Amino acid sequence: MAENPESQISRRRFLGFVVGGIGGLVAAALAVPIIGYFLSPGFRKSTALVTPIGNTSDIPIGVPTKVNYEQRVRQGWFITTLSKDTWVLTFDGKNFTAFDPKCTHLNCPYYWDPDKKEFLCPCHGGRFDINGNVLGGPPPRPLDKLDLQVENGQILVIG
Amino acid sequence: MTSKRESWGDERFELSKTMGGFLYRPVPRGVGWWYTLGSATMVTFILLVVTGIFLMMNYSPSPDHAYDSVQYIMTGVPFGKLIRSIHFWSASAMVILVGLHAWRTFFMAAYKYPREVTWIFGALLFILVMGSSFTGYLLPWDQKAYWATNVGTGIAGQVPLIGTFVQQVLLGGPTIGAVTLTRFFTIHVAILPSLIILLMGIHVYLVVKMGISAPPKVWGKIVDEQDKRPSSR
Repeated sequence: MAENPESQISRRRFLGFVVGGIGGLVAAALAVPIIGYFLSPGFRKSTALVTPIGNTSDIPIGVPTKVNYEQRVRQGWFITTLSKDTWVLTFDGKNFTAFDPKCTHLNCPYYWDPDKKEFLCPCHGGRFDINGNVLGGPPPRPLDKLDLQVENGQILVIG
Repeated sequence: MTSKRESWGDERFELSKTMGGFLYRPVPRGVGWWYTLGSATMVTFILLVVTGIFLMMNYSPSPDHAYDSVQYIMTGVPFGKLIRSIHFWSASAMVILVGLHAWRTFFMAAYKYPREVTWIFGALLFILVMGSSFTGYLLPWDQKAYWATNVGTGIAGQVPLIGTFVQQVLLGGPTIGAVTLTRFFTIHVAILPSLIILLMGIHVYLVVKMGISAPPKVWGKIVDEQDKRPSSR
């Protein structure tokens, strides 16, 4: 081995680079999957849930009907059942509308008044007609509607 | 000799002063691959901590969900299978490496004066590693995990006089159940890793402070213990 101070330093520096380089490679090989693992929920596309809520024949013509249904929701490894409801309306037994059961003002549950033929919200007096349009009170917009699909006589809520 | 960037950082961090004594210390002649086992064990430990932290993000230590959450990591999360596999294989590697490290120290008589305390802390670390393996084994909550824990804690239960007490402390109750799972989880992710980091710090400090013992023989020749001139100079 040459006892040359110049070559000694360069050898130590070279070894330093080799150790640092291998260490950096190992760290990067670990960091890439971990960052992907951590950020993956951000890239996940939410798949719409399809939930059957009842048969078309169960809904009377021209009268808003409150329908309770259970929605199975998957949260990672956890599957839970949410109890939900909606106001379903049809005029011909073929085309259906389902209103979100919360008033658009402050999310209070409203009800159908069969005498006045209006949706009434007990909290602040919001009023909607049978098609969900605002008739009076504080609601800023018509009732929200759920996406529906009718298949083989079944009403399906999408989303 | 040093570049401008290094001297800028070194003026401010003074790392070469602080770490220099740690990184650039003389080692005896004849040290080789057998002397890397301790560092290798530490690398597996670092891998286990990093992967373990991220596994915890998608693991649920409850009897209803533990198995399903592990399946979710394996099939539902991108890179989940890889990260869990690194954790699994690092754990196996750590047990083997820590055993080889202890054997090397024993057969080279490196535990003798003035390094007895280093050896004692190493022995404690060995127990902690065994404890980590044992508690980690239950967490997937499958049949193998359940029965391995059943047998392991059953052995503890055979100890005269205090056996039942020890078994119940381990299980958190008379049988394996929800309390056992959260108990093992806490021991595995919080208690044992903290203790390992603490004891490993002391262990490494002692290794640096006391120096590495010279191998009994180098290429068939007995080496003077006091000859600590670095082999590379």
